[in-house]
Amino acid sequence: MEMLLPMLFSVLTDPAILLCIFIGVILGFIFGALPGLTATLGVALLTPLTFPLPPEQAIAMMSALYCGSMTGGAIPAILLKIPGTPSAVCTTLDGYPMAQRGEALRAYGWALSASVCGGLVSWLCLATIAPFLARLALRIGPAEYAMLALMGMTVIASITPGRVLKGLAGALIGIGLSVVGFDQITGEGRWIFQSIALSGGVSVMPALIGFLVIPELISTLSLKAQRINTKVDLRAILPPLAAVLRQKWNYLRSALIGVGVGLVPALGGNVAAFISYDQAKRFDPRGKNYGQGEPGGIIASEASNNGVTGGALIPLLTLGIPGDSVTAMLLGGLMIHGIQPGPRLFETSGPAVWTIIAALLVANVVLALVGFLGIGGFLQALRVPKFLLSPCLLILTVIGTYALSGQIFDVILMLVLGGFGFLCLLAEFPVYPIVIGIILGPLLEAELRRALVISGGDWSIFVTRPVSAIFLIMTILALVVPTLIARWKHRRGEPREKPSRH
Amino acid sequence: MKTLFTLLPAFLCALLAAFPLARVASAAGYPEREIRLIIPWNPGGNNDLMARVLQPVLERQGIKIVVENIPGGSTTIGLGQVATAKPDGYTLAFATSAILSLIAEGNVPLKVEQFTNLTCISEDIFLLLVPKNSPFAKLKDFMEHVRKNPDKVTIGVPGASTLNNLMAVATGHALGSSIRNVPYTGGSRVVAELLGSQVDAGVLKPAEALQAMQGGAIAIGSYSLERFPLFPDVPTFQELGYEIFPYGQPIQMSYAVGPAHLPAEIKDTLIKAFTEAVQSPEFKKFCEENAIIINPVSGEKLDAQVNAVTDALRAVHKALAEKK
Repeated sequence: MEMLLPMLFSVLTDPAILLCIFIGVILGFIFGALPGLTATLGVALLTPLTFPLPPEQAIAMMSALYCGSMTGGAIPAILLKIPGTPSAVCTTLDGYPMAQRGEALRAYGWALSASVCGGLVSWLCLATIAPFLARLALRIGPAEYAMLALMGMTVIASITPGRVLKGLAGALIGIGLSVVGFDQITGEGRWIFQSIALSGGVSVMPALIGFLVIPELISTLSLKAQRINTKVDLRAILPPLAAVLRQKWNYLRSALIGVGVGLVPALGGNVAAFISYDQAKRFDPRGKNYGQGEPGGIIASEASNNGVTGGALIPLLTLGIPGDSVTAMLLGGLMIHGIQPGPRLFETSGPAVWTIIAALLVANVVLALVGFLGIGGFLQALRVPKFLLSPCLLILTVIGTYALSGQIFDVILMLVLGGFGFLCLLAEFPVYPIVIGIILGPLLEAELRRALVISGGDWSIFVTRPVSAIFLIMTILALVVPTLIARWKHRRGEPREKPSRH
Repeated sequence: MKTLFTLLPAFLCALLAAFPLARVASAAGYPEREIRLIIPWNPGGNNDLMARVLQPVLERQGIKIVVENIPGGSTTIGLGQVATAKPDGYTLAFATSAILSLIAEGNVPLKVEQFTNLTCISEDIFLLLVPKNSPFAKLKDFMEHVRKNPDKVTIGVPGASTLNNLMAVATGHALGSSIRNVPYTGGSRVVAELLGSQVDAGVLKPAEALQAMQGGAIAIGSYSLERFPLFPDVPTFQELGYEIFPYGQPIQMSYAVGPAHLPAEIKDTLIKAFTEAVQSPEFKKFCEENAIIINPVSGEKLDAQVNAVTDALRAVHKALAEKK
């Protein structure tokens, strides 16, 4: 810890590393904002380029890209209802309705403030209590993972008020699609039909783009360019302080959920956003308006996905265990530079690690700066008529989908699912539950079965393990209590809340 | 005009004369452009890093490779692209025993014959580890525990179609008992589960084992014929009289492959380049740091090794299927 200040000073006075952080954040914004290009792809492309750099600069650039992309994903989510990354799926729910009301800049301001807050909270956790948190995360086993996935699934009820049955049907479609490929537990092929392409299964990115991006691109083709004041007015972006303070617990809770989800391997920013959106909706007194343009929803989603960034670095730096796909590549970046992450990392490579941690703090400040000053450029995209913008974005999604795995099959899959997604849009069938099913389905299935293998088929493992039991009780309460309250209110003759659409 | 008429035949003659030359030149001049080296794993893994360490070394030998990560389907997707590529030497990949295991199980539409085996890049042995607070910190105690409690002891492995999984299952079979094998997605998750005492034991390769041991886990047994130099105090199963490999030892290896029917000259060029590259000081240093064994067999010797591993895997899978 005492190494932090001198390292921070050396980062701030080293133009090379500052430049790396700026480049990383800007690239992150671009990769995050463009649908089809994700943080994973960005870091994958950047990794070989950073090999000639000293390790501190390389890792600083990669983790800055990671932070930037989490925030960048919010931009198209708010402006176009297209999540730029899987982690920004929940940002569209309230961001886009706000933009439709003409408050796009304000929505972006909430997203940016939440992102920076999430990043700083997670950085603080990383810099102060990382080893403690890492030990805590090790208590999470398959049973707890399964219950976390279940908890994430309850967000389906939150985002499909009044249409829960359709939501569940959608989730089942998603889970059904996620079954294709190799069984994680037995290794057997499921629905592969002896085809090489299908053995990879339905990946998250083609499905996400197919269901969430393509239908929006098609349906906005007919719209004219929006008239938006592209002069960036700082007061229009920055939310009033009083409103920020009202949301302080939402900021903190969402950021901490992000840190927690980032801490445990196998979960990513999207899971964090699902859980914290769900929690925010239940805690916020204005929760029933979520989905119609409530800042609280944007904060929950964005604070948590940036909270993941620092959280995911904790097990990486303290135990050598990557928290998600991006940190897995950071691990590679460290190893190729001869730095072996693990419990002794702070002893063996102390200066390097503290430089990386200091650089992460700087990256979060740069994030605020770039996000604030760069929004003007992104807003220009709205001046482009949709019939020009949509085809460009469509081409980008094709390139991005192809680049992620080099499989033309993924592109075809994305387009087929896109067609299906457009039909869903026409039929007013909610597509978000399908995507949630695809993301959380495999997690729930594999972890549940792993837990049952460990317990020898005994289902009581989910209630006899305390942490798992807590998650399970929280999940049940979250599902049952609102219904009971609604019934009770209904009996007292109060009008039922109107269902809203997504 | 006259000059054109005299020049034209001369030009044609020259072209004709140059044509066979040009053909020879293109075979001898291989590679004329960049070679795609497909890594069927995500960036950052051991195979990916080895490829990236080898890249500059190969470039010094005039072989320019572009590393491309095509993960998915337990390496089926990436290797499928090589199997169906033109055998011109411009599409190569690193294959591992994972695909041999899938082939042996008959789980994938791929065959060993669809590949030309070039050079073995690395080999790994496996270690059995237990958590820090385990009451069975000696192999003998652990095995007694397994014998007395059939189908009770949990062993974490990094995937269902891995050799680690086979080793775990074989551990139970060696005693006429059985264990609960818990497949995770990847070695780092097994390390985490070991450190958190979520499983009773785990089967890992040396690099991952070292990482787990830094966190307090204890290596108690080595799935190899001899003790591994890096872990001189860890006994082998054989030493204590446990017959782990009744069907021959399945070796965990990564090896460079191309599509079947690769022309002989191209195959020789690549074998020579890879064999030299894996013995370069840079690669040796990387392998030492990460506890990877270098064993640069190639050509027929590698073919024999690949076939032996596949046969051993087939026998194990058959035996397991019968016992089910």
